[in-house]
Amino acid sequence: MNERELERRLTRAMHADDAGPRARAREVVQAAYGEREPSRRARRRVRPVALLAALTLVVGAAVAAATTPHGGVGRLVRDVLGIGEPHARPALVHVPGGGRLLVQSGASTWVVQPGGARRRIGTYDGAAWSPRGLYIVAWRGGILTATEPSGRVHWSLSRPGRIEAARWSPVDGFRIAYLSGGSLRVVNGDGSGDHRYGPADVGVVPAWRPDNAHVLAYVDARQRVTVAAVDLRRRLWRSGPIRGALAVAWSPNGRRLLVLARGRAAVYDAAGHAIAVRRLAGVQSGTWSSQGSLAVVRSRAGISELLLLDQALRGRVIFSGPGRFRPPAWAPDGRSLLLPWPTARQWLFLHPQGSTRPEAVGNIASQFAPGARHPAFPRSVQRCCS
Amino acid sequence: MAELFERHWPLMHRAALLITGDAAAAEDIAQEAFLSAIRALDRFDMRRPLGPWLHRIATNRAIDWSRARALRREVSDAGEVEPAASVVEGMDEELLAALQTLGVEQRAVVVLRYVLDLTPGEIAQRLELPRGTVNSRLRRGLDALGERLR
Repeated sequence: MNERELERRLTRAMHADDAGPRARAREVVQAAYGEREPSRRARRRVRPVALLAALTLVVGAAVAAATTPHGGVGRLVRDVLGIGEPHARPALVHVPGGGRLLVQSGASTWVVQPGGARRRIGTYDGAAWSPRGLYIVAWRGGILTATEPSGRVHWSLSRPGRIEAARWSPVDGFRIAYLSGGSLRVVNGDGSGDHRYGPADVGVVPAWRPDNAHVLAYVDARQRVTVAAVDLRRRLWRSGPIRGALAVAWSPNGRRLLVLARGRAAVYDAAGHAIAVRRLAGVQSGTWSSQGSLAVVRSRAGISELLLLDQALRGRVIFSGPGRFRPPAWAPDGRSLLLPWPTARQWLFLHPQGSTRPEAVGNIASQFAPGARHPAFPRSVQRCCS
Repeated sequence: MAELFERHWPLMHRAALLITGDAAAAEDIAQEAFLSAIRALDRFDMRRPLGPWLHRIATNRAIDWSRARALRREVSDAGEVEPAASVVEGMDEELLAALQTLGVEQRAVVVLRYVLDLTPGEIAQRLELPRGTVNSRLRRGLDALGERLR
């Protein structure tokens, strides 16, 4: 092939259909450019919800300051007040704190790159990252699917029962646990070896211990927290019945298990002994950072709070606001967290331990439902490695 | 911005696609290159043409991505494996496959020369390579492509 022929062929390749990528990119780029030049009118506009949020934050700050005199909460809340909704970025053009996002909005699943580029990967009820972010396990109805972050399906399997949640085992990614038809099931990372492990409460997402021993915590059908080595089919320990179990989450070193139930939280050690128990009215969700910080969300009387707790479940309120918060998601480095706030239609990026100003990003719903007249706020967001 | 986007996106996207061989990565790279350019717009000397600057961002990112991919191939028997490259509908797949047999440095030189229409001198400057190296990579790249596409 001579130079001229190659040039001709490369030029012809230029005419391949890129309408889809171009349309997606155009939307993101225009939003980013719009943010760079916010109109004066937009800057002046203060919505009622912002005023309500500001008032509530003042109350929250007072409460927090009263409960934690040395916690530095006042400063953080003042900072948040300073960038409340009127100053929120109008579009997500980068992910503060880094890492990629997996966003569930309505029936759509989206991947957001650290630089802000986003891609709808398909129609699913929910999804979760593989440990290194090379794959995503997603589910819809009775279909469990492993896709690449590009949306390309790698494998699928179908179950007669509705699939509720799936989680990829950490480190090696050799197993996926999921809930279907009142059972906990386990399948290999390549889609082979699907089998039923045992009866389970389908309202609580199972949690893999963060090592490669394939140890899983889940809530069984009789509401007992069970920790089991699934490859060996061996139960390591099991709690008594826990009424209203909501969530289980491992600490990053795998030595502590947080169990949230209606109105209370408990931390168990590796042998299954409860080492801390705390009444926590309105608790909804909790997650550990890679650095061992525990963020818990609770909601009471129309006000939600984000608390930062230690392993003894002592801690402080670091942010509060009207309405409800969705489960927070820590950045991969564990230094900042994303707090979804549907009432304000914002995502907040908070730095609980540092002095960096929090960032707020608005218009979240419409960014993940382009063209929708009444876009719903994303149900969940998960973060992954960069 | 809309005009700039329409003018430069196709070339940035195509260059990224031909360098990475992966449609998903190319889309992300071209999109992120634009976002990165918008963030840096205040520092850009507006007397200079925007196109080469945008193309440079996209091609550098595509080269970095391809190098990183080559370094982090992960293979396991049952768990995660490196995702396969994805391609664009209507793309000349034979050409794309042939390009992927070249090393990333050779591929980048060919794309810069024949897609972005840079001279060997400009490529040498862009990639911080001696001009002789650019010429030899181009020659070897063309020969290899000629063999594959014959």
